[in-house]
Amino acid sequence: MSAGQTSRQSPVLELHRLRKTFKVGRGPKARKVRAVDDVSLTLDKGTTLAVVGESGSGKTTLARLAMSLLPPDDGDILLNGRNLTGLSPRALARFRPSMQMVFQDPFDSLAPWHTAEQIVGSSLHLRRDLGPAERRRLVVEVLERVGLPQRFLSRYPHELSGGQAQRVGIARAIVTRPSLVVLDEPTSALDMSVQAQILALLHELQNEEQLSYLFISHDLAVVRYLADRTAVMRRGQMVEVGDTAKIFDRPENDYTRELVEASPRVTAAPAGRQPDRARADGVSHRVRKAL
Amino acid sequence: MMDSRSALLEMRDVSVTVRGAGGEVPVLREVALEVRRGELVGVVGETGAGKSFTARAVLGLLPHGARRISGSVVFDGTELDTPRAYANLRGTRMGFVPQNPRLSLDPVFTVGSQLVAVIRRGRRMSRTHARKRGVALLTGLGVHEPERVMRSYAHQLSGGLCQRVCIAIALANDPELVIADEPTTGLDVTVQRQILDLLRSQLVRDGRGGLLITHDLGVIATWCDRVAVMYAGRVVAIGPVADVLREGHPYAHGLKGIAVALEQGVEPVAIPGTVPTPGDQIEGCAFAPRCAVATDLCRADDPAPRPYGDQLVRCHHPVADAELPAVGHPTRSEEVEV
Amino acid sequence: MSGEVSSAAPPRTPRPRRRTGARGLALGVGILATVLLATLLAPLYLPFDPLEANLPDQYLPPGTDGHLFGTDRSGFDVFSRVVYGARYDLLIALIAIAVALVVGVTLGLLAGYRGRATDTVISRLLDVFQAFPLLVLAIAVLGAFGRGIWITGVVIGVVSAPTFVRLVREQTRTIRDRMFVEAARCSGFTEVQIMRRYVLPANLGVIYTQAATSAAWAILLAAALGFVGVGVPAPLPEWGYMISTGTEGLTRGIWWTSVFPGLAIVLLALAFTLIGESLSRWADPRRRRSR
Repeated sequence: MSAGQTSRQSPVLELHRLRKTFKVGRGPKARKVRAVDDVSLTLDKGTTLAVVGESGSGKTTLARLAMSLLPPDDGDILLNGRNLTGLSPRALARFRPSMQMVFQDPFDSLAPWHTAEQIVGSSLHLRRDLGPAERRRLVVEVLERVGLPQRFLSRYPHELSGGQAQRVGIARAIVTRPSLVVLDEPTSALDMSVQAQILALLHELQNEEQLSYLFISHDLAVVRYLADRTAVMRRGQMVEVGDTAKIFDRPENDYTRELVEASPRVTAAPAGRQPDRARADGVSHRVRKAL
Repeated sequence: MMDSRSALLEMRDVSVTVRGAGGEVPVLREVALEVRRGELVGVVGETGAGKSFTARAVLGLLPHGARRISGSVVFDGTELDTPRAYANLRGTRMGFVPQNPRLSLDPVFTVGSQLVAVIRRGRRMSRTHARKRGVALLTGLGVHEPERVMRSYAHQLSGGLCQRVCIAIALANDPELVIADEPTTGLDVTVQRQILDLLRSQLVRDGRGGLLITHDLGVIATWCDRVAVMYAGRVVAIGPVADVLREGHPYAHGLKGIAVALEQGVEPVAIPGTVPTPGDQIEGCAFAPRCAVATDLCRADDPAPRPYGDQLVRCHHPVADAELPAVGHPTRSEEVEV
Repeated sequence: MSGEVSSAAPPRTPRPRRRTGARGLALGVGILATVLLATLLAPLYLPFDPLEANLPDQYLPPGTDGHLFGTDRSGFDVFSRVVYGARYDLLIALIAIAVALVVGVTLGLLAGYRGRATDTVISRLLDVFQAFPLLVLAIAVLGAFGRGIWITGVVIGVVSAPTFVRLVREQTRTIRDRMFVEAARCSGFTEVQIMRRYVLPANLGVIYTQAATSAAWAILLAAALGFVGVGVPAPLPEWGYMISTGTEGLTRGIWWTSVFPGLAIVLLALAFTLIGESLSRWADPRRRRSR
């Protein structure tokens, strides 16, 4: 999409040889799990980098590392060329407005006792230069940008549909004009028809505001539309990174190929079913023998 | 292509209501569908469309506060109208694969003892024999260490393994009909593929049949023979998968358009607005407010099912493949307020 | 994980309309205000001095000689003492609740939100503390530090605090991992701000309900302490003390010396419960407003 003309600028986000290990369990049974193991990635301005993988692949940990919500064991995180690793929470607070996040479950990520206005306004709380009127104007403006007219200001989350709630979540993320937006499965909790609306909105916002997305997803279908480049993770490691079209059409890694082939597609059917059926019949043959 | 295989399950105009604020709220409205022997029928729809209620209505397991107010469910020629009629069907001739496998397994018993209990319910058999059969079932479902899995508790198993155990329980007594409610939601795609391949291969042989509830059109296209598309408690289109996805109801067409666009990496043409919630006032066709081809007729009159090729569609203006009109318009659309 | 919610439980099921609780709140506040006013203005209108004994008038039944609630063993006017006593019992209840809230909610938030070592230390301390029979503990402390309204209130508050700690800790542990807390972190709120703005509000419902129960319980406990003679010093008309001294006539049919202060306790407990219930309902916007 827009990768070509902006590639010369310095990257918005650089992850350099990140590592993160978690201890699982207690006492003698405790073992270490490498959630993120030597991962390096760069995200250029105005582009989308998708990180795909199955559960346990470490993609969510990677997102939290990129947002500096979690300190890495090793490696560096650079936001607009500035190294954020090792900064105190206080020092990090200054950079918070330039990195924002949109969450998977819109209802879980909005505090139920805050109105849409309070939720979006909460992102601006570090802006002490804003008066109440100015803040309100910004909130109204951004809610309108995401397709919610002014009457939604006083709505509580439970008074919103899934799509509307996710629009509020997006408004909260972009109101600070961030350079990096981490999208953590932003559409997987939404209905099919609403999914398309939100994806189109994200795409449009990216084009207009030159936003850079780090897009975490397990759903390859969504990735193909939004992402310029795609990184495939498995068991904490990066198995393949490249242009999205290439990852989908000419995957080099076996696991990537497996992932692409396994995701059910409307276009591949029903021809795609035939080999499956043949293979499955092989298994059922085993069942018959076993019984 | 219509074929003459005999009907295993028939739902005839089943309506279900739920007690809610301000009276009875309809959640299923005259749902009619049929599962023939040897086929897997998909039921697809969005939140609140009534997919799960459909599964539960077939099983006679409607949640508290819900009741069937009209219509009938006929299984292999027998009408299921009383709890007694179901008593010797569920777990033997009808199997159920639940949405959340981990939550549907009892946390205080090993999965093996639960599997054995179901097997012994279906036929007289010693515990040892039942156990052997359980191990064989799990092996057949591609479980590598069936003995170890049998000894485990649900929380010790991965989601994929829990789901295989649930499928083993559903298949334990060679049921003729299996109903699977979002059996792979929340599982990884590679696991989903294995499980649905297995389920399909088990069902389409020997004249058994299955009903697969899902929200994923890709799953329908890959694993089902026929599909029922649900919207606002109604089956709005039913027929062979390829036909339903190719042409007919504008809603099915719109959903398919989105899926295809995403797969090809191009901008999807969104369906504006949101799905209605049970209890919303509906006049005429429920999809009309979001439909690009809706007319005054649609807003006034709820269409009855009518044949369209090999399908039945509830639509006044089914779209033909050749016309391929854009449903909705490129978005940034405001959502219709509910 | 896909969030397609099964249609059996759509997230926006029209909720049954609940009463907003405004009526309960008004009634509770009304009772409390009346009692407060009655007891504060008591010196202006009470026909008898609640501290003046008049032995010849011992055990007059209600209604005799202007003694509305009769008189007790020492010839004290029961009505005057019940009205006058409200100020002591109210004060004890309020002090106790204030102490229990400050101590209990703070510790509960810390234990639940920070987890790990903080949680372990607080929980263990609590176990040790609760291993003592609490009434005995209260009696021992009061025996050591002397009697008085303030010390009684504080001791009852400390004894009530563990309930708050456990409730708030449990609730906080479920809130801690909600995505809106993570979102607040992304917006640059400090941990203390997050506890105050995002975790505490989620606790308000249970806190209000428990505070009401505890306030009623504090009065009963104060009465119990008075009963065994370590609460409020003897001549003061504290309700518990009145009941304890009043019961000795019960076998002879003299019921009014204990029943009227008992009813007074019930009335205040009712007022607290009404207020607490309505506040806890109000704390949740889903129950507060229904469209």
